[in-house]
Amino acid sequence: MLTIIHREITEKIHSLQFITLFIVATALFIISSGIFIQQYSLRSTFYEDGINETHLNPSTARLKIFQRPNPLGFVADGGARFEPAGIVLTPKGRQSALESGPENFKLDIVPELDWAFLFKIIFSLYALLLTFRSVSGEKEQGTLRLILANSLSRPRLLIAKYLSTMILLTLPIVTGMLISLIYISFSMPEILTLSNLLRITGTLLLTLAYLSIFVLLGLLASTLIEKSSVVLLSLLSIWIFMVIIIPNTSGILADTFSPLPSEYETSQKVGPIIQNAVWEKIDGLKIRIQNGEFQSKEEIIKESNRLFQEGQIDVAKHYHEYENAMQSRSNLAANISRFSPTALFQYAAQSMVNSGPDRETWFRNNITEYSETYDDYILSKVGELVGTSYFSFSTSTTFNGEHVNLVSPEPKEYDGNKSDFPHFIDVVPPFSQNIRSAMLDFCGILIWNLLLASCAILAIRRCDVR
Amino acid sequence: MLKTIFLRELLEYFKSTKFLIGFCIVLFLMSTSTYLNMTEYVQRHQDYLSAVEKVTTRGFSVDVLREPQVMSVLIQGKDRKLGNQLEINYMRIPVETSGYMGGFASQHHRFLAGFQAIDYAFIVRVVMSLLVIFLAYNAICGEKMQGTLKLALSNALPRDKLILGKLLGGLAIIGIMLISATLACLLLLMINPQIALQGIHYTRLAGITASSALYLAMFFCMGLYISVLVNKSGTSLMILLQIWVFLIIIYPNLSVYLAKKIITLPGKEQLADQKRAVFEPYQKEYDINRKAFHDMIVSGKRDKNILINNFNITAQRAAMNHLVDMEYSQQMTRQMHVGHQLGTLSPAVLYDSIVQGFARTDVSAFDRFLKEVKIYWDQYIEQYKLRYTDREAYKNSDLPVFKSSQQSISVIIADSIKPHILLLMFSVLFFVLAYTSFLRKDVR
Repeated sequence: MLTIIHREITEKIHSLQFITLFIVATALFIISSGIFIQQYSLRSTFYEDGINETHLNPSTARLKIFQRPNPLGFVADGGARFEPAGIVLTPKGRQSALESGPENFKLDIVPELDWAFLFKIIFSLYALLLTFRSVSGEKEQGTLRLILANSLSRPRLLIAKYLSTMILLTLPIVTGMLISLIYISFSMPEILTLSNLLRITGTLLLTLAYLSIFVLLGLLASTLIEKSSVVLLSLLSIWIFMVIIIPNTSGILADTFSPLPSEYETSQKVGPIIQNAVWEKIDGLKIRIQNGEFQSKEEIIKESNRLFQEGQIDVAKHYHEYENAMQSRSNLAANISRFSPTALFQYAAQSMVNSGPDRETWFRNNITEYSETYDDYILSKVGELVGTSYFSFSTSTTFNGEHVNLVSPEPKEYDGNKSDFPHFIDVVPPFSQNIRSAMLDFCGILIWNLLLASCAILAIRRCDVR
Repeated sequence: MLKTIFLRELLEYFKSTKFLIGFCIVLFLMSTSTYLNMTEYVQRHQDYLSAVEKVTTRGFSVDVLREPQVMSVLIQGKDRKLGNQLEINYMRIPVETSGYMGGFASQHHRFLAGFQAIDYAFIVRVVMSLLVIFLAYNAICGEKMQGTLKLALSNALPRDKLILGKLLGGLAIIGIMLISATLACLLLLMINPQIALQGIHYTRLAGITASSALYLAMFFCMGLYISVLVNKSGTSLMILLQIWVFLIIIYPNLSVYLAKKIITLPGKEQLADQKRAVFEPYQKEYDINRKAFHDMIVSGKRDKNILINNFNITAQRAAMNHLVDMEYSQQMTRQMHVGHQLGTLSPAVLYDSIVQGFARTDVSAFDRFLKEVKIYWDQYIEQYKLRYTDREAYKNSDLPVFKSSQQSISVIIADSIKPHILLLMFSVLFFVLAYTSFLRKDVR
């Protein structure tokens, strides 16, 4: 078996596919590192500036909380450019996204050039190019029956071919990863921590398990189909489905078939909710003023503040429900795309390096916890908690012939000493938690492997090798 | 003789397994993607119509709605991602659209952001180009390996006739595939009662089909050239696949990154500074008027002059801010154009820009919309002003209706001449190379 592995490696290492893969992969690893370093330094500056500003002047009305850029974004970016740079927290725990600075929405949508992109698109394609001729090619040349005329079992031959391709694929991966790490660590030596190295090693294992699916697929197709060119065409069709079509169609499928109300339907409810929750209450107040229920202007303003706040809760709730609906929709899209091993790999890699939507959820949950401390601080300093919604309202009425302005209350800024302000601390989830969330997707990848390996072994046992 | 070669090639292709597999996949993908995109478009269009019906002045703001394009079913371009709503008032003219929940709350952009469109353009650009490579890679070297090339040429058959026959055969098969796929899409569009296709749409579709044919022909010529150049089919296929990966996947990606590096966009703060600088001469007047307005609201004593002055200066500020925003928006467009220019050598980039132009789903259609929004804002402001100058006239006047103009097909064709010429040049270049190499090739 060792002889066959050795023979396969020496044969394929000189092939055009392998040489191109090696050159292209190394170049892309270097380019992606360069792009990452540039993006990371921009994001870091933005983050540091934001943090400094908040530390110098913390707000009790509208607190900006910035999210630390992910130092492992070069492994799997997870759509960081579409995520908000942070959250604006207002009293009573309302969170809204902070604008993340200019992103040119007119540019063509291209996938982020990170390691995950290289593995899931480029390497998976080359895994197929390196295997499609494994059995059918040898059959065409007539060498297959010669090999099997020796005392070598068919599954062992297949395993040898599988192992040799995996070894060949590992070479450019490890080389590229090392070059990339060295390059990045020159500008960012802080990334070389034990936890980060563990996460990167985890990603390497995940990558090998993912690419193994394509190697097995290549071997299976090569065993089942007689002509190499048809093998390749079939494999490339499957590749396009798995790698591009399924992950990208999931969005439109989730959008079209989700039972949740669409954005338009949700938007149509905003007007009536504001009418019922806010204006009807204020209209009631105006009637009560006319009926002489209030003794002073202050009393009216106090009651109007209470009613505005009460009404705003319903408005804020509606917006919250909308955010949840959009979130569920995107979760549905992610689950649909999990039919494809590429999506499984992408999600597992994101969990491994703590990026993507889970990172944002973790960040938002931490802020929810922190908001209690924040509210306590405001109560102790300002004396009252005033929540906000997406709108501020204003109207007027008359009381004893005097004009009274009724405006929805805004949180107050505390002008005194804020040196005891409890600042938010951005903590990274522990590695074990990330591993747990990657586990399910990793199991999916293993199932694909087992399934394809069994099929490939069954196929070679029954294959006509003449 | 040319006819014989042509017919033989056509028959060979029809009989081949690769054609059968490829054709089935293309038809399947075209019909399912068109069906899905159509369902999504119908919903989007329905939402748009309902939203247009309900457009009223909401306090002092009004929604301007961007109509989804029918052709986005086939060429999605930017149409679905950009959002359909933009809220204007006398204080603000935004240059970005959002989902129906409004600019500050809509999550529309974010949840669509990561997905690439799977549509007619994608299938032609990625799937069919790959299929064409599979049809062309062994056109010459395959025959050489089988030994039929020397047999064919031992007859009174000039070499140029043979390669021309092969080219014509290949182009015919591409034409047949493309036309069948386009007709399948068109049929689906026509039988859907909720989609109303007009004459202009058929013209646009014809343009899209012709450009797709040109794009695929380029790949065929490239395949033919490589197949003349090398002697083994396997090597030819490998070379072509590497070129395909580079041209379709890697190169367009890199050109976007390079464009970002070449043209840097100003940050939000720089933009705010620019706006401040532009408005500086009027800032004092603005502050005085805003204060007077605020005092008036608190006191509850309506003063017509204060209202008019406040309105005028605020609207002026909005218009001046809009100029800065539009300049920024144009810089974004420039960055995108630089990306396209850097990607000129990739037929995929050229093809995308041509078909998105035909479908009106490109950035220039969006930029045109932004200009129309400004024209509408001027009309809206004129009408809104009546509120302060002549209340009776304001009550009797109707809200101006936003009209989006259709760009004539001749302008689109004129815009797409350059990428068309480039695609044609690539095709001709590869064929000329294939032709000359074949004349000198050792066919034994």
